[in-house]
Amino acid sequence: MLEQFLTLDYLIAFLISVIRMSTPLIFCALGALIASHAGTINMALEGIMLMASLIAVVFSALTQSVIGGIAGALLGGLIISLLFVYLHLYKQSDLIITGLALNTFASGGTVYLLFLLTGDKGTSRLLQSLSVPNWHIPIIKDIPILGKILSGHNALTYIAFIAVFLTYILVFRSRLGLRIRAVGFNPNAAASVGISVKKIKLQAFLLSGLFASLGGAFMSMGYLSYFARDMMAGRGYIGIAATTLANGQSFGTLLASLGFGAANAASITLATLNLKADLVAMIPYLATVIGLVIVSARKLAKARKKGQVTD
Amino acid sequence: MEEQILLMDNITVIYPNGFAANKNVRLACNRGSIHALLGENGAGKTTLMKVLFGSITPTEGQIYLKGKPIQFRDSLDAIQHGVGMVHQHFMLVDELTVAENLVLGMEPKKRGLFDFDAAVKITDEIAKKYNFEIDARAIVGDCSVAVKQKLEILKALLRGAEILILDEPTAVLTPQEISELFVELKKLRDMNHTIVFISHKLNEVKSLCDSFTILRNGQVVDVGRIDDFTEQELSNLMVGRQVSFEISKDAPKSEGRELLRVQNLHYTNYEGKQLLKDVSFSLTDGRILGVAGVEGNGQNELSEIITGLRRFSKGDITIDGSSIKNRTVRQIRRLGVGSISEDRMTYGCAPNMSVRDNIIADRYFTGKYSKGIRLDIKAIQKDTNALIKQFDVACPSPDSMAGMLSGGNIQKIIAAREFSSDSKIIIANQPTRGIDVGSSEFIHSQLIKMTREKGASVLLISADLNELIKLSDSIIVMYNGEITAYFEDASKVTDVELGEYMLGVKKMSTEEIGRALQQ
Amino acid sequence: MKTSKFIVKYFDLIRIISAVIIGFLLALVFLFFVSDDPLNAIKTFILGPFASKRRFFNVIELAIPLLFTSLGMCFMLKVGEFNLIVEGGFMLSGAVVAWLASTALPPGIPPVIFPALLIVVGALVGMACGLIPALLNIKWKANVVVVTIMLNYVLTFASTYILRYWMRDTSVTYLGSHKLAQNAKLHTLLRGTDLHTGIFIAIAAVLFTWWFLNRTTKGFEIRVTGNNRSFAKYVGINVASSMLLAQMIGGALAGVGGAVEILGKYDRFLWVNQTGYGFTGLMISVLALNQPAAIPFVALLFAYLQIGANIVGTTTDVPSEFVMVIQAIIILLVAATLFMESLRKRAVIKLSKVEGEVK
Repeated sequence: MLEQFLTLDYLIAFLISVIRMSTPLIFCALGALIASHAGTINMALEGIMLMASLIAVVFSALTQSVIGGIAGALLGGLIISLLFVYLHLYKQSDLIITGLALNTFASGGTVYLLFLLTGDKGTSRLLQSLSVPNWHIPIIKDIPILGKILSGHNALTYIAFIAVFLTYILVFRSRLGLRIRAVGFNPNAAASVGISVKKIKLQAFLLSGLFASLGGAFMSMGYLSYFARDMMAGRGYIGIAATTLANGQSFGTLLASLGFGAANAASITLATLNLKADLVAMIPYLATVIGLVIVSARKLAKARKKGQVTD
Repeated sequence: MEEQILLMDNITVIYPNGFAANKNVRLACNRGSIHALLGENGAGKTTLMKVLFGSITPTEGQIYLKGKPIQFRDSLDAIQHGVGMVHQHFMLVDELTVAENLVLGMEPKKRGLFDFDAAVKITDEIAKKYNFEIDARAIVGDCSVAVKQKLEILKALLRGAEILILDEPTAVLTPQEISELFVELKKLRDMNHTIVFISHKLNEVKSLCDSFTILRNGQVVDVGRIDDFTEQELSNLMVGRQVSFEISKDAPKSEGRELLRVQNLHYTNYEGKQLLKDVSFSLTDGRILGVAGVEGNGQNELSEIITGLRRFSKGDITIDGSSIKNRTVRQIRRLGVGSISEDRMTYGCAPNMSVRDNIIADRYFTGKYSKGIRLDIKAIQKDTNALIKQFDVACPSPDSMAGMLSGGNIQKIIAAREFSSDSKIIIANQPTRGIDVGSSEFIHSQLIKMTREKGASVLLISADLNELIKLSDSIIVMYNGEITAYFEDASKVTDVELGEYMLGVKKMSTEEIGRALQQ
Repeated sequence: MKTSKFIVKYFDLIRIISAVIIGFLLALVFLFFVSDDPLNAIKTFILGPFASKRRFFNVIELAIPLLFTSLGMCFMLKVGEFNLIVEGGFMLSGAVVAWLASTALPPGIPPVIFPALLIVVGALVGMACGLIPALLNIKWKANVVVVTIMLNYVLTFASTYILRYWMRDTSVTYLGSHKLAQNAKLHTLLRGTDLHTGIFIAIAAVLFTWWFLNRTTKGFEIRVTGNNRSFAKYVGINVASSMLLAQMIGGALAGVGGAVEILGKYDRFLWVNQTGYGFTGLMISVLALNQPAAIPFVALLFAYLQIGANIVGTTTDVPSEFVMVIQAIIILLVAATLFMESLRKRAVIKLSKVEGEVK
């Protein structure tokens, strides 16, 4: 059994799977990252991604264009994001309750919409929706082994990696990013120089939702070629964990997402090896919990050392 | 002829609760001068500066800037008109660099992105212009307090501040840093900037400022040139005699039993700043010991240490003979310590719980109110109803939420809890701050009753000197975490005298202070 | 003046009822759009649960697990922690209890003793589930929401693992456990319905929760800790131990719920997905403003909505999931602090004006 796993072909297949499984996590984690720099948590990411993946399918079927599908994903994510922002920032509702309720809203709402549009309650296979094409990268695709692993992925996968750079520039190099971070670290200081804390948080939440929406698009236009109910399976929360793990650093977030993607891929690969599937399926979630605890413990120890926590 | 850059004329501020924080105040500053704004806690300095900085609109009065009448919409508006403020609590983002903090809100851009190098350049230029030494690339959180303060001043200057308000800027600095700051401030004055300097430390005011305005009870007491007054005179003006209230109290009936003994107490906070230095005193039954001092001189730390919320580093504290070292808050309370916290809403009550629950929060587990884990609701209702009546808490019902009541009533709930639990010692930290006259009179009479009738002792920490002198049997004064004076008989002390010790003008000898601790 | 007084006094209730009405109206709109025969669908949704004895009792049967999970959430929220482990605790407890009742224990254990024993086991399983995230949070300050949602997945897979490898009945075509021992099951109370004796345990749980939170010293400590931690420290309450206790009890209630549900309603263990009762429990507790006395009413309301939606789902082919949207909207409205705030403000201003005139 183990020998089989250690063959080169298997390893290549595994690495391809890692990259594939990481894609939605990267998008979502980047969304979580932006919100975390604004000093809050985007608890609605799961719902944002779910709604995005459904609307992506619907729009791609309607317009018969991939771009239309992506635009639909962004729109779908925006609907949930706007609800979240309105209720949380303008109606002072609790961050966690609102986020969780919106995730429930999206979970039920997507099934309802799906039925309304297709008459099916489980998947969107009845819709003639498109998938985002795979990209074969010239030169790299001809390199033996490496070419197999790195080339031929879904276009959104490459965009995810590019998005890491984009968020880095957005958060750490742009004017808006500086203001987002100022608001996140010390809202009073930001307000004292005339920055509107609410406005900055609003922008951060919307950007956060847009990045996550692309992850939603990948799920229904790349990972699968259709929408399936509750297809996020907790990825929205894993994304939050990935950013927490990386302490808000873009490239660290990429690594953490790849790590969780690997856990995901491992659980799929191992499942084919006649291992006990249920135990294997726990891997990504357990990995998230363990990662979170380790990072939280280290942060706390650091804060204790500095004396910020006294009890 | 000197140009009058700022005139605040006839400023009156009346808060919604009817409290007049400023009454017909006039403040005038000349360009290129350092003007001291002096006064006790609660004299109205902060309110006046909030008016100047546009945070509140005065009920009456007019601000003139360079002779022109003006009204600020908000702080931003004030900044744009050349008024800058350095708050006591810095408005800085610790995680960002010095340069980023400086340009926040007016960031330089290059090709659509934030131009950090330009920000550094701006920082270096303005630092050079005003002769400040500062590392533009340093992370603010790693900088010393003095550097942060410089950065705050630069922030105001970069935004074009001609008038700079400094709110107790030296409170957080070491002596060396203070003298460095003063050099810089004098340089700013020579560059024709105007500085409003708020401080309690008269020696500093003497060495730095040109002119002064003294506020007391929201009114201007005196205005003049610093050189024409001695520290002694300034101190007397600041504290002065106020319209006082009368409190009738009998002579203490003490059996001489020592209920609280604080011996050689030291406390150093996590930043390594020593907040209590070798504090020793004792308190016998039936007496009220007052603690005088400008806020932030160690009184809060002292009260939190005695009640067990903070751990001390050196020395010892005993309650009626038992040391509180390594005891939990509950164990200390069981020794007979009750306390009124200075921060009512954080430590004094659970705002979303009932008045009844708030009153029994320290005793619900005792045999009187519970059997096993079961609460005896009948007993609780009976006793809390009586206490609500006895302490005159005005609430729609004992089940009303505490947070819905007025400050005075919440304080009465706290008193009903802390004064009724057979306490031997009450630590009363600012027990009447911000509450109405009726409620404070009530709290006063209860404090006296506790000592005269029940033989308890009270440690009264208060910024209100009148209250302190009237209520206390003896008084200690704290300055910079040390006891600097001890008055055996509070009735023979004047507020003027206390003021001199509180403001660091005078200090008693070690022997005199040592009498605070019974041998 | 009278109306203003009424508005101020009963503002919370007015807000909640308004939110429910808005949610209900939206439900009708949703049905209208999706159904071929909208009027019939709406009628089925509203009156369906009362159309027969079986359906009526379906509502009460569904309220039983919801009561346990919402009471569990009530403990979590009372101490100020968003510990969502009731979802996973409910499921795992069901799986463990089903395994004991179907495979592991001899079927000959006497009737009353058998289910009692199993319910105790369920409570212990749930308690352990509640304890883990509480410890992780108290000791290391790990984000309790993310940790518990992740752990819920882990517990779900643990449950399906138990199902697949410890108690699967390979003689049936679907994925299910062996039959539960007859002695282990809770009795059915009414012929023609599935109403079982678990209802009494649920009622006991409501009374227990109310009593514990309002009438015991430990409950008092939990409430103070959840309300103001600094104040709790100041009066000498051990904050960490009340946080731990509340989350253990919350988990235990969910565990009892899982056990009661399995023993009362199932012949075999069949759960392969999260039941969703945990999240519904959170919504119920929020809507009941964490008042144990209000929870039964809200639980019945949610059960009624769900059964109505289920009937619509089975009889008219409209997906019953639309009811999740309705429930979420109600919670969103209630959670929005400023929802209907202008109404209250106007009433308060009116009142203070009148009072001013009297003076």
